[in-house]
Amino acid sequence: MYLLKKQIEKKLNKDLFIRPLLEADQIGELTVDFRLGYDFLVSVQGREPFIDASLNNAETSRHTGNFFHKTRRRPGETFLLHPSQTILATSLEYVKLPSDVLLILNMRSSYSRLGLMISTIIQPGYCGCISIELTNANKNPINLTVGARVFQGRFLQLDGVTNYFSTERKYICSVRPQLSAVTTDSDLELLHNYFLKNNG
Amino acid sequence: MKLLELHFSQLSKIWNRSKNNTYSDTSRKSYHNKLKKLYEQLEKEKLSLITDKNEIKEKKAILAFFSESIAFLDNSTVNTLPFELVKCLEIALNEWLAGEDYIIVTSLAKGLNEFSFNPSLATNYDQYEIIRSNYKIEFEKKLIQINIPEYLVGDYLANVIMYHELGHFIEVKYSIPDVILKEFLDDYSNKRIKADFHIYFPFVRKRFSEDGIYSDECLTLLKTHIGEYFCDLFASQYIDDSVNHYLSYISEENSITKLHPTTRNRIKLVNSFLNNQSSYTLDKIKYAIKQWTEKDLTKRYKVFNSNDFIKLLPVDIKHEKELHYLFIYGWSIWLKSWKKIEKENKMVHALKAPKVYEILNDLIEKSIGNYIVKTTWENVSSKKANRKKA
Repeated sequence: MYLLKKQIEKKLNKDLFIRPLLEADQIGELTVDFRLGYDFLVSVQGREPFIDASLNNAETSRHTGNFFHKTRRRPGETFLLHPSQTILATSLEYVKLPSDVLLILNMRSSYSRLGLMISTIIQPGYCGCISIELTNANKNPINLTVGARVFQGRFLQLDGVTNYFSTERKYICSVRPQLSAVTTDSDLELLHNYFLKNNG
Repeated sequence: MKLLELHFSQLSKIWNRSKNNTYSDTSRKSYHNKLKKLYEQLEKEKLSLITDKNEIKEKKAILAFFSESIAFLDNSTVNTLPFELVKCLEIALNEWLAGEDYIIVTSLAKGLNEFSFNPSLATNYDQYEIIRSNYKIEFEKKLIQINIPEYLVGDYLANVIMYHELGHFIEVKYSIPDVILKEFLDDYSNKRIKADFHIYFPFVRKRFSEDGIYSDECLTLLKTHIGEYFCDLFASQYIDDSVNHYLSYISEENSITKLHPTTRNRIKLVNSFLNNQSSYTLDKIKYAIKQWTEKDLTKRYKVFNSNDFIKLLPVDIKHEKELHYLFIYGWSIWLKSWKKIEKENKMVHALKAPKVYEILNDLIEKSIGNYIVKTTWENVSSKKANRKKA
C-alpha cells in the first residue's frame, strides 16, 4: 500500500524525517518531490584503463576515487550533464525512513522526458541524503538546476518492520555522494579465493 | 628590472589558470574582477625599465599582493570553499566587525596540523593605498586568509581550531596584545600586579629581572602569549571548551615556546572564563578588551536541546547562534560512549570510530547546510511574495 498525502504528513517528524522540506507542496497526493543536492562526483577518464569491481587485480587496480572528480554548486546554479556521462549526486533533503516504509524513487516525468533515468529503492530505516546515480541518455547535454525538484518518491507501507542496522552498513548518514564501496563486499573476497584456487 | 618581469611572468602563469574561476558569491567575484583590472594595468607596464629602488619595492609588493590574493581565491571557489564552516566564522566575525568589509578565504595546506591565519591581505592597508593611488582600483573588501589542512576540510571536530585562527585576525585588527600589555605594564610599574599574572606568564619572574620586563625580548614574548590567550578566549565564546580537547592532544607541550604559552595554562584560562571565575589576569584581559573594542568577552553560542544526532538526524537549526553549538554538541557525543547511538538505532554491530567520525561530521555539515539553504530560500520566497503583492 502506498502512503497517501495525509498519511505521509502524519508520519512526518514522528518516524519519517525529511530535512529540509522547503515547501509544503513538495508533498503531493501520493508522492514527495525531492530536490537535486549540491555535491557531485563526476566520472572522468584517467590513465587507468578500467574500474575494477573485483579483487583479482588487487595489486594493480586503483581506488575508485581516481575515476571521479568532486565538485560543488550552490542552489540555483547549474550542472551540465553530458550525453552518456554518469554522475553521483544526492537529494538536497536528508531523509530518515520508518522501519516499515520503503521509498521508491524515480525521476519526475518532466526530467524523464529529457532522457534522465533513475530507479532506486531506499530501504526502510535508511538515514542520509538519497544517493542518486544519474546518466544522461539524451544525445544533447542537459543543464540541471541545483535545488530543483528533479525526483519523486513513493512511500510503500510494509506489513512488518525491518531492522536497517541488522547488518553492518557501509553508508550511514551520508550527506555527500559516496563512491562505490563494491570491493568491500564480503562475497568478492570469497569469489577472489575461488578464482585463486583455479588460477593461483 | 628583469626580476620584476620574472615575477610578473610567474603571476601571469597563475592568472591564466585562474582567470575564469567561478565563485559562490558576489563579493569574491567582485574581488576577482578587481584583480583582473589590476592585471590589465600591470600588463601594460614596462617593468624591466624601472630602476628606482622605491618603485621596485612598490611593484614587488603589488605583484606579491596579486599572487597571494589569487592563491587564496583559487582555494575559495565554489568547488573548494568549505562554505558551511566559513558561514559559522562569518557569523562570529560580524559580531566583532559588523559593517566592515572582509571576505573569509581559505587556503588548503598539506599538513594535518597546519591551521593558521595570515594577516597580510587583511591588515596591510598600505598595499591597498598604493594600488588605489597608482591604478585607481579600490578593493573595498579585504581578504581574511585562513589556512586549513586539505585533508581535514570536512572535519568539523578538528575545525573548531578555525575559531581560534579567526581570533588572530581580530587580535591583529584591534591590536589586542598592545592594549592588554599596556594594562599589565601599568600595573607592573605601580606594583599592582597580582601573583596570578606570574602563573600565566611565568617567564617574566624566571627569566627577566625587575626591569627586564621592559626588554624587547620579554615584551615580544608577552605580546605573543597574550595574543594566544586572547584567541583561545575568543574561540571559547563560540565553541566552549571544544578547542581544549583537540589542543591538548595536538600540542602536548607543557613548556613555554616563543609562540605559545603552555597548553596547561591555555586550558586553565579558558576554563576560568567559561566557569565565570574571577582572576586578576582574566579580569584584566576582559576589561582591556571591553575598553578598546566595546565588546564583552562572553559566551556567544545558543544552546539547543536535541537528541537528533543520537537519532542520526541533522539538527533543525532555528537561530544562527545555534550553529556554533553544533561543534560543542558534536564533541560532546564524540567524547562519550557511542552505545546510546547503537541502542537508539537498534544497531546489531558496534560502531567503530571511523564510522562515528563520518556520521558526526556529516550531520554537522548537513545541519549547517540546511540552515543556509532554508534561510536563503525564505529570503528569496518572501521577496517573490512581495513582488507579487506589489
